[in-house]
Amino acid sequence: MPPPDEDDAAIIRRSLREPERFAAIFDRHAPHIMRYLAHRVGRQVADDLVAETFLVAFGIRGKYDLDRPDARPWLYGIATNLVRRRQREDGREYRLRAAIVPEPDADGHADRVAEQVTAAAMNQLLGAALVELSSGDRDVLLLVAWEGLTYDEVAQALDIPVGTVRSRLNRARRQTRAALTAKESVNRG
Amino acid sequence: MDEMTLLGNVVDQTPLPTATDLAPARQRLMAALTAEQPRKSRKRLILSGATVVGLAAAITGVVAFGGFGVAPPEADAVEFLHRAADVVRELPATPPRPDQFVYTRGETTDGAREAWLSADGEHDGMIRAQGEDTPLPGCKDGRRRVMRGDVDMGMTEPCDVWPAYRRLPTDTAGMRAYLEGTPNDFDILLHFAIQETYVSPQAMAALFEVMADFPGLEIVEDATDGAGRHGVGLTWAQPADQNEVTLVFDQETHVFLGTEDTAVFVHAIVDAVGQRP
Repeated sequence: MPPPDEDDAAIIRRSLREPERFAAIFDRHAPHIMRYLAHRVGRQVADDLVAETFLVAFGIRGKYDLDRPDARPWLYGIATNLVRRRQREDGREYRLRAAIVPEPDADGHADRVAEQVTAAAMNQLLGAALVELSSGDRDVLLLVAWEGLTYDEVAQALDIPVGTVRSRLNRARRQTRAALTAKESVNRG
Repeated sequence: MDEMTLLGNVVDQTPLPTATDLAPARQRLMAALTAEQPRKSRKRLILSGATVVGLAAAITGVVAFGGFGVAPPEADAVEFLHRAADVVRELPATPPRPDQFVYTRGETTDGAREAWLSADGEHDGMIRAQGEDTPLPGCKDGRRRVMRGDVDMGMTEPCDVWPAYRRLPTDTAGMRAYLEGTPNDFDILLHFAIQETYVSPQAMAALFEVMADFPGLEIVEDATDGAGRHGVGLTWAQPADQNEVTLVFDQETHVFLGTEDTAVFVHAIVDAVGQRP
């Protein structure tokens, strides 16, 4: 195991000569990358893509910018590219997992069930709204909202200028919000 | 509740996968990690570790699994390779004697590099790069001297003989069968790319003809080799976990120049280590 204070760049640098060191990058980041992928493409495909993400990362680690101590943006970027490629190959958009929420507890209190039903309805609306976004806008929105990446980190991950991150996020938020409020008012009306 | 909070909730409500969930993916990665030799020891034999092995694995991968959901070869690229094959096929064959050496001078991501590789693999060769001479002990009767840098450790170790010249099929069908039949024999591919061994012009032509069938084959306009020389790049569908390799050829003469990270300047047969043509 690497010392806990060793940053990602240090591990990647060492892995150039000692490939097995790269396992530490997996252990550190795979859980979050896997959860991100599962939300984007479903659990089954995510199983495959999480492995591919780290295999690709391992293959191109020689090009990693060692001035960046945190490898997360790099890994999210690779994962996002793989999602896009898989979607292209399959010739269809994966249903976004945002539309899926856990089943209500069997012994749940009535209020809680009601709460979950509302949440489920909202999430379905949200899922539908996300599918409407352009893929570039959606990538930005999800990396910020789901994964908590900063604008700079998203820019690194997707290899786009920070200004573009901002404008894509604004557009994605505006469209999502519009879709939610429009549908809500229809439901209420 | 705004859309960002809603989205964030979706993720917050999902527990992170456990080590058990991740075990199959981790296993796949570990297999790749342990399959890769440490770069240090590999460097003595080949040019630029990652790139060249990537190429070898990529070609083999394509040969082995070719055609899986990939576009057919692009017509221009196919034509270019056929022309490159025609050009190289006409060159005179100058195979080395077993006691001679294949000399190359080239450029890698690590800088200039010269190599003297034993034609039969039994004689001591040498790599000169980054101001250092690294001896390559020959492998005779399954044993070679153990060297640490240029220090002779005074013992021997088991080895596989690694000739810089071996007879390869000179026809397309034969070459294809050879590549498909020996997926782990990267030598030809490896050194085809970097030209540190001797591949006869006819075998080289056959290799180009086989490449012309690679799925996803396409031309990269105005590619540059490792020395910055401009030429026609050729690339093809390669596994995502490899560094993608582009072979660069001279636009006019169709002669192979190198890859995007490597370049070959001089390629010749010499009688002794240290000797230049």
